[in-house]
Amino acid sequence: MSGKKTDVIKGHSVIAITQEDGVFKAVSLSKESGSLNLVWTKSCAVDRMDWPAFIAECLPESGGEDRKAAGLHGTIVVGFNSIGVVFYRLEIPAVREDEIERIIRLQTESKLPLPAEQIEMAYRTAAVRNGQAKVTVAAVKKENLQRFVEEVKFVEPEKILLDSEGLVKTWWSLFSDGKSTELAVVVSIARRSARICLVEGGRLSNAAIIDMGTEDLTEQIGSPMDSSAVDRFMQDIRSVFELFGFADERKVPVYVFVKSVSDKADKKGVREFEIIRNIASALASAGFNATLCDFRFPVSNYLLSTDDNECLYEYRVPIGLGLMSLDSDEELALFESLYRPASAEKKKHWLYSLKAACSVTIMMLILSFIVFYLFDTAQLAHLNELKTRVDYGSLKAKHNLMEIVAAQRPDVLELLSKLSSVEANGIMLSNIDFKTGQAVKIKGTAGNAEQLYKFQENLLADEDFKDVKIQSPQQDEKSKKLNFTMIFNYKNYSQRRD
Amino acid sequence: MHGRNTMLDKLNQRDKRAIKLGLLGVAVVVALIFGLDWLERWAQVRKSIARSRSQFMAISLPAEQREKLLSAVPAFEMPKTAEKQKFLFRAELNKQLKETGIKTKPLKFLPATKSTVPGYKLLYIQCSGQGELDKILDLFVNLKKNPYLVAVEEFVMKKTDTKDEKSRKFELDLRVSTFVKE
Repeated sequence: MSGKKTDVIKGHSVIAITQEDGVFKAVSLSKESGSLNLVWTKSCAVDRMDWPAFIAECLPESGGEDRKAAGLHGTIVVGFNSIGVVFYRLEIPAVREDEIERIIRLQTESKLPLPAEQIEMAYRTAAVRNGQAKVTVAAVKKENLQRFVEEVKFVEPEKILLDSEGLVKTWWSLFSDGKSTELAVVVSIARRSARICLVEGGRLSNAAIIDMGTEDLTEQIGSPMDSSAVDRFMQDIRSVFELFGFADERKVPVYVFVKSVSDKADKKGVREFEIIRNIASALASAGFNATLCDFRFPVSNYLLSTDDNECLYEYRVPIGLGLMSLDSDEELALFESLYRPASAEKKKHWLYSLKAACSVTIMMLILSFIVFYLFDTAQLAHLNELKTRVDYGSLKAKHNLMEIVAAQRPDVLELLSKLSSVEANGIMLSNIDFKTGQAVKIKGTAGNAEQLYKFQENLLADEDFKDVKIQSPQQDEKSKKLNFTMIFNYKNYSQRRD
Repeated sequence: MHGRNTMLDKLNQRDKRAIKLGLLGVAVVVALIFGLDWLERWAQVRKSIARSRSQFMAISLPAEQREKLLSAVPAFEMPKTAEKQKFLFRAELNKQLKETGIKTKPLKFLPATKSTVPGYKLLYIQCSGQGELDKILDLFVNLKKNPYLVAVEEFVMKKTDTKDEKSRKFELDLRVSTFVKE
């Protein structure tokens, strides 16, 4: 679903093809220096041909390069029959474009006749007024669109448009002044159906189809109109107006397309003209603000030159679609996600192509290999230079020797500080004898035996002192103090080093 | 240019595709020939880097271990021959004794003994003197900074006046070692 304007196609000529009322119709329009020409028209009954056959008829060498070879450089647009398309008109707050889609989806999903995944939607926003934006949403069964795409994709149309939009465009181009008509209803009556389109600001905002046409309103050519059929028709029109949300139909101008009737017109043509004129009269009698749009006298100054004005009516839908394409109008892009024209593919930036992506990947891979290789080479050179500069051999030997020295070197200061911290009250050391590979011997005096044993106990509490033994404690007769000698192993320095 | 364009124009899609595939094949073969050689060279470079790194790793310790090593051995010079090492070690030790203010008798060399390190012997210096406890402690602090010292092999501290409890004067007998080349 999208409300964005698709890629603008501004060709100098366009071929528009539709199928309506059981007939394929095609026109070719060209635009040169502001002048619009109806180049040719073609039509064929649906029961005689299918889509491919008719397109082939229009384009003898249709498709791809052959189309160019045939000199058909113009754009092709195809009309999709609006039967089955449901329209919703919403008013939403003026928010960012990305939020609009979310709001629309939320508002419409509950109203959809089928699960959302089976439906394709497109929307179009109108100008914002008082902080509110009017939105037209078109929804249709996805399967129908896919089937239609399968039928027409071989001719590579630039766009697939709703045929109702073509009708509105024709009316807007030929019968409106383009300013005063803010809101209008366009009625186009065909032989077996009638199409009623609501127009807002020159663009389709709702549409409905009534299964009654000129042939249903009369029994046979020349016979009077079937009044009950006319009543039914009027009732249907009223229902459609209700659907459009109009309580008072008199306020909205209704434009009824009517076929041009020249002197050369056959009886059938004249009768058709009369029926539509009567319908318009009936509408006026019923209170509708109805106006006939006679294709002989288009009121707009839209320049459309043709030798045969009568065919404008017959081909009103494809002409409208062609004009939309030439004017690059923003359409309800129902087919956006299902069909992408070949030209749009070509417009894609070369960087998005698979070949370019692969090439860039390979190039990046090669480049990264080269960078890593250069980095490694530089690193090796740096390491080699370091080796030669610092004399790795002697550095290693020095390092090894330092480790040996560190392991062998007793920390004398640590021993002295520990003895000092452990020294208990009344203990005075007078002699310390340390020799690597032998037990440490200390001599001193203690106030009494208890102090001495306390000192021994304190030394043993430190795991670095092992086998602490008191040797020959003797009391000094003069001072009454206890002279002692103590031996112990300190760390691993008391073990022999061989 | 024109002729080449004409030739290319004459080729149909199938021929062009064949030429493209051929060129791609040639490019792959060339890439394989040179690429494999190059990859082999690169592998050699990476092996050399790994070897050099492991060598450097052997002498570069983690920060904690390095700190521990340097606190135990803050200065170290590689041992020289006995004659040179004797001179250097004695000179440095004398300097340190003077700096700390400990009066000593002349330093005396003791005979060298075998060490646990192949290629090196241990040479000893015997030192006797007197000094305040603070100065002796200063000496032990400074000794670590002697770049020729291996270890304090022996020390005897003896109070000079055992009767005076407040006396801090000690006699010091010290035996320190250094490595000398065999």
